[in-house]
Amino acid sequence: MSLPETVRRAQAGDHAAFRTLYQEQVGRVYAVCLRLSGDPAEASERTQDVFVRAWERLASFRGESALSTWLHRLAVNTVLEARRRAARRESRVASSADPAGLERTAAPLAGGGSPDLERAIAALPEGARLVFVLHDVEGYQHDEIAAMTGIAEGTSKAQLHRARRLLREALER
Amino acid sequence: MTCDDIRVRFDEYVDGGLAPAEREAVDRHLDGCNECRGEMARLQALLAAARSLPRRIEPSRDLWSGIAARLTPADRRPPALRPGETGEPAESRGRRPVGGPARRWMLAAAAVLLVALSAGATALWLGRLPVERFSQERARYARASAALAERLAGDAGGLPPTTLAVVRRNLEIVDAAIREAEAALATDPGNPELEQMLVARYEQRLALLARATRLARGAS
Repeated sequence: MSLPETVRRAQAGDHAAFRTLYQEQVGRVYAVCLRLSGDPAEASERTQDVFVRAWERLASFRGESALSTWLHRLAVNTVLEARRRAARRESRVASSADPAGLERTAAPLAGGGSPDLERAIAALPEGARLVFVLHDVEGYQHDEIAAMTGIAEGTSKAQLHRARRLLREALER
Repeated sequence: MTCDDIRVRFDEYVDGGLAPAEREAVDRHLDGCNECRGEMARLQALLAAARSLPRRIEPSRDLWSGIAARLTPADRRPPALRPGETGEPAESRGRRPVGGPARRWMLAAAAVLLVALSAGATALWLGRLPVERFSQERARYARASAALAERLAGDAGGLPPTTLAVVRRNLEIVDAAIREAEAALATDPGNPELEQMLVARYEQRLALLARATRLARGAS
């Protein structure tokens, strides 16, 4: 079955078709959630949230962009929204103090990734990590990051500068 | 320029944000400074590594069962509104429906839905309503909007032409805002601000329809 046909069926309410979409896209969604949250357990939770929200909103997917692009944006919004909710509750800040948590990602990364860099990213302070991942890994511009996260553009630039400095120091150790 | 002056420009240099003259100044400094050249090389290596990180990482456990348990059954999933659709059945526009008790019941149901939606929209705006509820709010809006629009179509004859023209113009404005928000959400799905804005527009449209319906009833 072609991807557009699978999407059409999922839009019509076909669980099996939606599961096929999940299987094709989960790696990409999880990668975004993991890097933004810095924590595998939270990334799993957010990934599930993303697909539940995708199911609810799939009928509004118009096919103007690739499904992967649509899901990617949904994933970023889902993680950022969870972060805002957590900040409002003043609790449950994503822990980046335990880079051992990323050990589980080491195996899939071994083929072509950089486990050291992944761990260093996860260990960044939250604000710096979010901006670094959005800007240098995902390719968003500062004005987009400012709009998505609610920080000023200047703050985004400052956080990126900080993240790049901390990462260079971490990788040189 | 000193090394410090140069290094504070490194981020903009690698991001392509420096004016040509400043870029040339950085290039000239790098040509003659080993330390800054090394620093720049490390920064560029970091960025290259970040760009080449794998786009996919498979989760260590299967997440599907947790997702499947939360999926709304297909027959209860709210329908999406297409661009330009505002929950109003096309046949209700400009047509006088048959009156009677059924219509009165429908209006009462619409009023209940309006109250429910308003509470939901307000809660969403205040951040108390889970964003997952957005699609439910949209479905409720579609039902309430259709019922009120049909009622208004039946009573519109009671409105003076100038009032009716104002109502229609305002509806067009709100509908355009709804279409704009829907289009933005199509490219930025799950954006909470856009979803809140859209629900607020829905509420605005319902309030407009309800007010016009009251005016029409008062005039007839």
